[in-house]
Amino acid sequence: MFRRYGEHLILSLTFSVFVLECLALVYLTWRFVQRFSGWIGFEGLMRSLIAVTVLTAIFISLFMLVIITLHALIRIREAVLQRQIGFWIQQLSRNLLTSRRCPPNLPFAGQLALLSLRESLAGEESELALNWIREQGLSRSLIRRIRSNSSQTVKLNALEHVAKARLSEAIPELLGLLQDRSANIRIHAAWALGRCIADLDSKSNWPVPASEVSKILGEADLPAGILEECLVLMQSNAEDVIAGLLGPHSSILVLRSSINAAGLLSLIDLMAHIGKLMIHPEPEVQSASIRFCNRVGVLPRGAEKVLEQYLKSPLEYLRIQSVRALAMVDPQKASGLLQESIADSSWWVRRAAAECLEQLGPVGYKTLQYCAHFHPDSFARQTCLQLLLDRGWMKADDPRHFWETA
Amino acid sequence: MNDLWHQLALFFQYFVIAYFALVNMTHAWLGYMGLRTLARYTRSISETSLKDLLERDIYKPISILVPAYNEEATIVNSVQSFLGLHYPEFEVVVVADGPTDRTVQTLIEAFGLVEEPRIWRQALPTQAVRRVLRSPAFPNLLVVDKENGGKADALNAGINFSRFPLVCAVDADSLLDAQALLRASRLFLEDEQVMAVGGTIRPLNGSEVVRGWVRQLKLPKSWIERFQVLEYARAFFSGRAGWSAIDALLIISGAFGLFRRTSVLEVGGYKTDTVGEDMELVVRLHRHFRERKIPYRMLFTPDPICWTEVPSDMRTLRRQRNRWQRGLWETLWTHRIMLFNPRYGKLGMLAVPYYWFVEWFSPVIELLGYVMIPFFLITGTLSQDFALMFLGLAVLYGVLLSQISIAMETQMMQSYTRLRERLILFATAFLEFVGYRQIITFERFVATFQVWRKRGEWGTMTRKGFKPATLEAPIEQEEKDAKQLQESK
Repeated sequence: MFRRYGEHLILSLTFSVFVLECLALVYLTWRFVQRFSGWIGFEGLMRSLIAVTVLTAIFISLFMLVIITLHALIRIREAVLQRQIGFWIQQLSRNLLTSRRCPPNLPFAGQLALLSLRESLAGEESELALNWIREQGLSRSLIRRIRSNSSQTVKLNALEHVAKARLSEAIPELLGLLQDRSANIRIHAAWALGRCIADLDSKSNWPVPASEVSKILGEADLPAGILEECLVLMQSNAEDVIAGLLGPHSSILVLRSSINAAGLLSLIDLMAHIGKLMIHPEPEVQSASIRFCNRVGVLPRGAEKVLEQYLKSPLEYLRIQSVRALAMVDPQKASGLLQESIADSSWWVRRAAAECLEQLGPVGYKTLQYCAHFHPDSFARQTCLQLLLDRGWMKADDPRHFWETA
Repeated sequence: MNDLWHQLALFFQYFVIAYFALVNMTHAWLGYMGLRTLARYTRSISETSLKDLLERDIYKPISILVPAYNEEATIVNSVQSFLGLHYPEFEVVVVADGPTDRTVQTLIEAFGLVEEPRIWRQALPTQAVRRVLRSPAFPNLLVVDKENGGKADALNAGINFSRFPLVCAVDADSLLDAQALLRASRLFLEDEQVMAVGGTIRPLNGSEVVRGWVRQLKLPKSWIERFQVLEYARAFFSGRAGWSAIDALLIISGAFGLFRRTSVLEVGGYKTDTVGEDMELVVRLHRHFRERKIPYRMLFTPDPICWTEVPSDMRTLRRQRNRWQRGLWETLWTHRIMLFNPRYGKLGMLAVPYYWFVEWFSPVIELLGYVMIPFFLITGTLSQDFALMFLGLAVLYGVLLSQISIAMETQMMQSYTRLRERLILFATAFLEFVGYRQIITFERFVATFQVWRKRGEWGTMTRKGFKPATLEAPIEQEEKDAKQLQESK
């Protein structure tokens, strides 16, 4: 259902019918008021009622006729286009593998097929498809469209195609669109930007310096999830951009999204930047930094004390992340701390503590066994028992006995 | 005396006319707003970004909660459909709410479930859990067998067992579109203020279902089911899409709704003493956030589609509508403080009054009209021509609204595109006014006065299941084709 052909026409038609019907209703109400006040006779009112009824019947007939015809035409057009795209995909795939030459002057369906091939292929064939996109002048035309003042739909379609083609030359234009008034355009531009940057092969080849990309991204009014997604889409090329976003002037939202993206991409080289943020005044940033450490499996030096402090935080999410990070601390020490956390008021913290004990190896296993039977807190006992059962380290031969213990 | 009677009759007639104009203008306005929502939505969605969401680690895991009472006819197909969804990480929590048929047994046989001792967090109080079953073949399937406590209680139990930050409540007799979760969950990712998202529900009666997937959408054969196709199109594309456009969505259907788990827990989960638990939860969430001045959004999104089996016989349908009407009243009454209360913004000043005076009150007015018009005609206080013409106009307005909704659905969702189906739907829009609408109005009218007597009562829902004949036939055909292909090779 993505921006279908003929959509504007149908929407405009439906809108006009709504407006006309509302006007008819307003008119009818006015005539009733007039009748109620004795300004017009019954005959006058009746004439108005007949007029509105006939008008509505005409609307319905016309609307039905036009809509059904339009739908039929759209359906035929889309079916023909799909067939043509299928044909061109076959043709171009053959050319990619054999003659390695693109037929000149590709029609619209051929261009769509080429974009689709560029998106789905990888390696040498994908690069060849990109060269064909450039040779055909498609890249220039797409950039022209995203730069133009044309309708939002045209721009959005062009952005979608740029994202598919992963055009490095479109990066400056995409950065410009991150400042667009329309949130829709900004979001689509961010997605396309992520894909285009991911395709850059070397740092020297960037059409815009990474620091500039960071600056514009940091200032763009993007939702946290979209910023994170854009950075993740950049894949291995995201490191410098994220490093630029971790500066002291970045907002909490930008910091959190950047740290999350760094964690998802396992960018361990950013540890120097992100490790420091563990003591950022904002708990959301603290939590994101610890989550980053958990994802890359490394803790910065001196983090143990910070974690110990956060274990007592009133914020559940911070305690959960801190408990998880204890898996990277000396097992003896961690096991002691986890024995306390396993009696936490939050189920999630308790569960995280039990899972962390599991990761500590023999020491953790012993602690788990001990806590399952002898921990003074019944919730702690339950959590440990559940984990032992889940992992098959304990058999629940007698469920009744088990439940009573729990 | 005669003069007084005449004045009263006139007053009633003018009241009905004013009510008619107001209701139809509201519907036209809602339709227009719905149209805007659809237009915006079609522009915003990107197929490439959905693919990226599926391929990369940027998503929020989801727990699908499936409360099941006596659902042995449909449960396996539904669970198969849920397990086959295109989503990177999710779990399916089926809560068997003390069924009296073979629902649990059917699930055990179909998915090879085994009992699992389990300790869970009783975040919400529920009826006792008898056992927890897990499938070794499908690690993301969990079946909770519990004492009967009603749908809301089963959903609360599902929330207790869910592990993920988003919970998706679905009906056991429903099937989800393959990309439904991807599209709905994207909204939570894009905007952190989004607390709940509702999708479109579409009747699947008559369609071909293969292994839990809707293979071909077809119009149902019986008129009762066809009438409901129209009703659903109107309710979702003109109603909910419209309210969502002005951030005043009061209903997220129980058949498919996504919520942030923490929000649901914050408000205490589903309320168990109402039959309109879906609407009640949404209204309570609205109140919770508004009263605490927490910025939030609850959205309707047209594309995530849930297919549901609608009642195919009048008896079941009447029970369902009776329950819906009672559920509506229970919710409105519980939250009556919101009515015309500016503290709740558009909700208090527009949405809640609409539900009071249009959704709840309209059956009373309509039925009174049906009773009074013949009476007025007999007593000569109403012109016959006028009455007929007015009735004709009312029917035409209804038809127009139905046609616009169907046009929106066909254009956006590419459904019922065949000319024959469109013509049948056109005829259905007219035929709806010959008997069907009156029966439903009568049932809703009756329900209005049964709210206290039948409090919390659901009534039995009869299910046919997802067309078993068409379910098997294509599979057999596929196998036959494969065999023929092999032989020809």
